[in-house]
Amino acid sequence: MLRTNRQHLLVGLAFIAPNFIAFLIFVAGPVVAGLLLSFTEWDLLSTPRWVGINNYVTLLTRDNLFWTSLWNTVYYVLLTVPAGIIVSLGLAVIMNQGLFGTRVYRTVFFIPVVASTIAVALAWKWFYNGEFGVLNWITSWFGIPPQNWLTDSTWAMPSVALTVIWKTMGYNMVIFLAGLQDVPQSLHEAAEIDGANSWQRFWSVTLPLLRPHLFFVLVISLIGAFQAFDMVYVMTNGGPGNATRVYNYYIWENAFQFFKMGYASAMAYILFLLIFVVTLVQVRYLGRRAYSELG
Amino acid sequence: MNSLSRRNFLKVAGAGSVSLVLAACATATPAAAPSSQEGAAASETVQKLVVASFYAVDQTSGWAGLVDAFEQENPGIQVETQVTPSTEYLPKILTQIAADTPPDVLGVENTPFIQFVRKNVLLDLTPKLEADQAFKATDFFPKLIGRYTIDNKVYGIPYDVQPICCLFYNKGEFDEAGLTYPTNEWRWDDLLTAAQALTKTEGNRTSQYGFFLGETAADRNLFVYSNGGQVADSVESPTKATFNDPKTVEGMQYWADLVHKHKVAPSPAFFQQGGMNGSDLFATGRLAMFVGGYWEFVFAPDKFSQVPFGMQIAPVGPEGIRGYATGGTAYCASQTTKHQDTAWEFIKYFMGMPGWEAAFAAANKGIIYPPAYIPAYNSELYLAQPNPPVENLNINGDAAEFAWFTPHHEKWVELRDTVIIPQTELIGNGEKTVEEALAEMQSAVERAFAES
Repeated sequence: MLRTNRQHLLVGLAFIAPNFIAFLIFVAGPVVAGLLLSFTEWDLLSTPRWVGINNYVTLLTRDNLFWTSLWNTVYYVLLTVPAGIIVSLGLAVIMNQGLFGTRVYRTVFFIPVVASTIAVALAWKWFYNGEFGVLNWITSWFGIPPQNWLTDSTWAMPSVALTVIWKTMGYNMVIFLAGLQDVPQSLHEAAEIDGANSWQRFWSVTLPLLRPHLFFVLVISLIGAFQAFDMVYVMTNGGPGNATRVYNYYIWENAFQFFKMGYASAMAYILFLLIFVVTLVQVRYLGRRAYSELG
Repeated sequence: MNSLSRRNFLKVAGAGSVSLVLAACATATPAAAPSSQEGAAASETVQKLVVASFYAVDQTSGWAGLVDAFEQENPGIQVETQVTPSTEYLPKILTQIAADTPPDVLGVENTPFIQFVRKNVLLDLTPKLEADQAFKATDFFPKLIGRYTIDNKVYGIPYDVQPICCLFYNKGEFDEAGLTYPTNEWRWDDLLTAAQALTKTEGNRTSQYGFFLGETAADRNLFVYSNGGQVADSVESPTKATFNDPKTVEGMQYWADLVHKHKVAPSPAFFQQGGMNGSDLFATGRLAMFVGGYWEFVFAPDKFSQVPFGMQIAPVGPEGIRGYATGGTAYCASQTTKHQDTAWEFIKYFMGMPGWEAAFAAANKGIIYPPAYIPAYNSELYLAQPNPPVENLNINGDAAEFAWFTPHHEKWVELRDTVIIPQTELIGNGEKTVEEALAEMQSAVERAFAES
C-alpha cells in the first residue's frame, strides 16, 4: 500500500515536473530577480549596483513621466474595460437570439481576437488617417469636421481604446455566450408569466446569473488593460507628445532603451502591487457576491 | 505515509532548476579555441564569429555577398550574422550583454554609443588601427570616426556617411511650374518660394505638397543647424542645453511655419497615421520636394524611379550657414570577445575596400550606402553607381564636414524619446507653440545635465 502510494506520488510529481520546473525558471525566477533588481541601478552593460529604495523614491517623487504614464494607463483602463464589457455582453445577447446567420457572425466577431495585433493596428491606422481615412469620411456624414484621430492629444487614447475594444470583444463575447446558454429557459418563462418584459427579464434574471462570467471578464480585462503595450507600441509610439505613453510602454523604454533595468523593475513591481490590490478588492467585494448568490 | 514535505520538494525542485540554469549557462559559453593562438587554431578548427547588425543581410544592404566573400577568403572562420530589426536591436544586444554572451562584432548607433563605451563593453581598437598600415583612421571622414573616438581611443569604425542633407525633388513638377532646379547655393527662402509654387490645393484639401522634412525633432532638424542653432553647448561634452538659443528657436519656427503658416509641408502627423513616409508621398506625385538621408533612396529605388527625380544638397540658412543633422552606426568589437583578432579582421574587411566591393557586387541594382571609408567613397563603387543614375552623389560626403551628431550624453536617448520627440510632435500637430515646446525641452535637458 505504502509502495503504491509513493509510486503514485512520484509518477504524479514526474508528470507535473516539466511544467513546474519551467514555471520556476521562467516565471518564479524572474519574479524574484525582478524584485531584487528593483533595488539596484542596472544598465544591463555592467554589474548591478545596490541602491536600496532609491528607484522607488525617484519614481514617486521626481519622475513626472511616471505619473503621466500611470494616469494614461488608468484612463486607458477606464476607456476600454467598461465599454468593452458592455459591447461584448450586448453582442453575446444578440448572438444568443438564435437569429439567422448567427454562426457566421460569431466567427466574424472572433476573427479580430486571433488576428495579429500588428495587422490590426496598421489597418486601423489607415482607418483613422486624418487625410484619407475612412473614419473622417463617416463622421463627415454627421457634419463632424475631420480629425487627426491618432495624432491629436485629445483623440489619440480614445482611438487606441476603440481599436482594442474591437479586437478583444469577440473573446469576452464567447465567455458571455457560454454563460447565456446556461441560463435555464424555465426562469425566463416564469418571469414572463409574472409579467416581466424583456428588459426586466434581462436585468433581473439573466444578468444576476451571469455574475460569475462578468466577474471573470472584469478581472481578466482589468489585468490585461493595466498591462497595455502592443497596440500603443504599433499605433502611436506613446505620442503625440506623451498622450498615449502607457505605463508598460514606459517600463519597456526604461528597461531596453534607456539602460535603466533596475528602475524598470521597480516600476514593474509598483504595477504588480497596483494590479494585486485592484484584483484583491474585486475578489473581496465582487467575487463572493458573484458566486454566493448562485442558486 | 512517507510523502515528501512541500518544503523538501521545493528544495529538490529548486536545486534541479538551478542546475538546469547552470547547464544553460555552460552551453552559452563559446567552446571555441583560446584567443592567444587564434591564428593557429583557426586553420584546424572552425571558429565562429557572431556579428550583430540591424542591417538586413540582403540586396538592399549588399551584405548578402559580403559574408560569403569573407568566409571564402578566411577558411576556418564561420560568420554567424544575427540580424534584428532596428526597433528590437538594442533590447536584444543589451540582453545578450547582460547574459554575458555578447556578439563578437556589433553595430552600435551613435546616440547610445557613449553608454557602451562608458560601461566598458567595447574593445579599444586604437592599438589595432595603429598597427595596421593599410587601414587607417585617417581613411574615414574625420567627423564620423571622431564620433566614435572617446578620450583619444577609437571604439568603433563608422559604416556609412549619410547626413540628412539630400533634397530630393520631382523634376517634372519643376518643369511644369517653370521653376529652375534647386542648386547647391539655395537658401531657405529659395526653398520656400519653390515650395509655394509647387503646392496645389483642391478645395480645402492639399493635393500636392511642396516640401517635407523627414527628420523634424529639434536635435535633428535641418533648420536648426543651418540657422547656426544648436541644442547644447558642445557635442562632445555637453554641459548646457541651448534649446532656448534664439537661433534654435528661429530655426524650429521656420519649420513650423512651413507646416502651419505657409501650409506647403504636411505635418509629420500625416505620415505617422498612415504608416507612410516622405518617399511614399514623393513616389505617388503628391510631394514635390523632400529632405531626408540618402538611405531613403537606397531602401526604395523603385519607388523613386516612378517619378523623374533629382537630388541636390539641402539649402543653407539665411546667413549662408551649412548644417546637417546626422545619425550613423559604427561597428565595434566586444571587449570580452574570445576572438579579438578575427573580430578586427572582420571589421576591417567589412568597413574597408573588400567589404564595399562585395557589397557593391551583391547590391540591388548596384546601389549602396555612401561608405564612410573614403577610398571606397571616392571609388567607382559609390560615385559611379550605375542604375538608375543619381545626380550629385558627392553631396553625402560633402555634407559630412557640416554634419552634427546629437550631443554625446548618456541620457540623450532618454531625453530624445521622452522629451525632444514628443515635444516636437506637439509643434507638428499644432498643439504647442515653438517657444513652449522648446522651453519644455530646455528645462528637461537642463535638469538631466545637472543630475549627471
